[in-house]
Amino acid sequence: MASVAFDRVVKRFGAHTVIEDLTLEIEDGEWLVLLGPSGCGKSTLLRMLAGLEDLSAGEIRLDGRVVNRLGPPQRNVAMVFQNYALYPHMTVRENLAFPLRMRRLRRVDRDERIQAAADMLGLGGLLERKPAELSGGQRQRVAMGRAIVREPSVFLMDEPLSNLDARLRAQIRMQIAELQQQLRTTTLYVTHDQVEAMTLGQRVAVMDQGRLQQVAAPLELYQRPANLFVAGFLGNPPMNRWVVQLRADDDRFELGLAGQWIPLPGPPPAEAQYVGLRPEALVPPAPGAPRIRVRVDAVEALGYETLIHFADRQGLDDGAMTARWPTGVELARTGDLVELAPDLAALHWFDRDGRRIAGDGRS
Amino acid sequence: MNGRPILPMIATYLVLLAVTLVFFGPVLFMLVGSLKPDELVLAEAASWRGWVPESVSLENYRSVFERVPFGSYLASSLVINGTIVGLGLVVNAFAGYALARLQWWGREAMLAVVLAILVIPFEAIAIPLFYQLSALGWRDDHLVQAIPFVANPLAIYLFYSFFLGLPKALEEAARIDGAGVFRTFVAIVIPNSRAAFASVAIVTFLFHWGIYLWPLLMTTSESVRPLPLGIATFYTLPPLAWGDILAFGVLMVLPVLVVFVVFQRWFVAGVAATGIKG
Repeated sequence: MASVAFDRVVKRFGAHTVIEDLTLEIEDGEWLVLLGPSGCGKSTLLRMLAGLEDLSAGEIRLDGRVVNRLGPPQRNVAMVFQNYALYPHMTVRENLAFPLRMRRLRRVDRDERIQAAADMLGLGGLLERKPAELSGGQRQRVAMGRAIVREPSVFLMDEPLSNLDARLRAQIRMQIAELQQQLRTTTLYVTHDQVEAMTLGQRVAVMDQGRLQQVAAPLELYQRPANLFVAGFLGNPPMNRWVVQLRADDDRFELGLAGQWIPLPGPPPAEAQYVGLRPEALVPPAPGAPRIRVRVDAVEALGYETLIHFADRQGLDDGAMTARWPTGVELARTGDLVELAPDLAALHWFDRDGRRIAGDGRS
Repeated sequence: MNGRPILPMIATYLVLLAVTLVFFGPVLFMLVGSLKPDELVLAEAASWRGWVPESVSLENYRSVFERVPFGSYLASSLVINGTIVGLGLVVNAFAGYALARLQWWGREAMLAVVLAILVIPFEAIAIPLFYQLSALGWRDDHLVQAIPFVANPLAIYLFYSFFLGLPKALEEAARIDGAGVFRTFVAIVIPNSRAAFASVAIVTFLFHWGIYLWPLLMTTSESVRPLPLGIATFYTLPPLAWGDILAFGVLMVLPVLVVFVVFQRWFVAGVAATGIKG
């Protein structure tokens, strides 16, 4: 196991900067998820740690040792690729044995480790098969196995579940979570899937356009997004975000939402430029609660919850205004005018640059 | 039948038949002629009888073995082609891989040079090469007929384009698993490139099996001369026997057919993968 440090890392491809001055530390044994949209640089970061890409500037350290100039074989990291990259001409056993043969392990030790990994991942009956004879889920497990047998100091996983269907993905996600408990090896896990990030990461690093946006525990990210990007990227549907409209009368403040005014319990932060509210914080009003009336544009009844999209986009920073209602509330229909009570304790405030000012996100 | 109009189909097959005859006709003529008494080969060439063996005789084949050292020619051809193909696969595969995957200064320029050499016919450099090797005193053996053809720009280009199409993640996985560049190439790339190796081997073998000019320039001893020079000896060996020449031709084609039939499956896969045409 090892700690990992990216220190002011820059990566350019020609004139295009993919990673911009990124600093990030991962503790020994920590499981960190790199989350971000396609093209944000997260896979490039992983590949630089693996030694598959050179750095344009900065340093990468493994256990305090700078590894910039070391080739992939010298770094003792193992990687699970998005397309698994199993060697097609080798059986599962030979695939698992390959990294061990490269390290000149004795045959007895090789067999022992292969058996242990096969038992852990349920690959026992597949050892003599070639990758072409395996299902997607089985290939994925073999790829994990090939990483595990190495007993590397760091695991790198590059969207390892993205080629699987939704059901299998959920199943293997649970298996990976169990493995994580057993192995306790430092792991960098790249994904664009927020469910994977929330369920697997001890910490999640959100990236966009080559920059680190926020590094925090999953719930912290959700409840206290550092900026508008994180607020919009995390959560499905994303946080509703409006440009702040305020009116003040003596020391009473009112916030404009969807063209209507809602009294605030106290003064908003002075620099507030944007305000956000999670869909679950727009609830059917209790008697006497401040409310707004908005017209329903579309309803998605998902069984365990209902998503309601509203037609009124006045003041919205991005996207449509959406509410998430629990099952049991009387269903609205398209075209209905419904009343919503914004949970004012759950407001998120952001400044003109989109940086978080205040709000604890509880809802 | 799947309801296609019959006339266009007949027309299609007639065209295909005509094309087949154009390509296959000379081969058939060679085979039939080799089985005929020598005096009938040319006499019947202009009539339909030229294409039908009336009385099958292996006399011409016996004559070939009596008049020329066929075994020696065949052995020389096999040694020369074996060297060209065997060494060529190693050298050209390495070169193709270096151009496709390794990062080195001048790579693009070298690729351009390889492509440029592709269009230079061997005949254009045969004489300078002849003087160069003669100056070194290197003549009249098997190797001098093979070595100049080992590095082959077409083979390099075919390997290059095949390797470019291999999933890069396989090699990256091997590097991370602890394999160096050479080991990655040997243990991962080569086993997954059998189709490319087979097609390059066949193309190289076919091309050099019939090569004539270079052995003629470089050899004087019969013992090192290959089959194409062997067949030419009949023209200087009176009497001029067409039956013998055709029988020699059949014997010369047989190894090529065997190689092609054995490796056909890989060859077709290789053609699809490397995009060889013609």
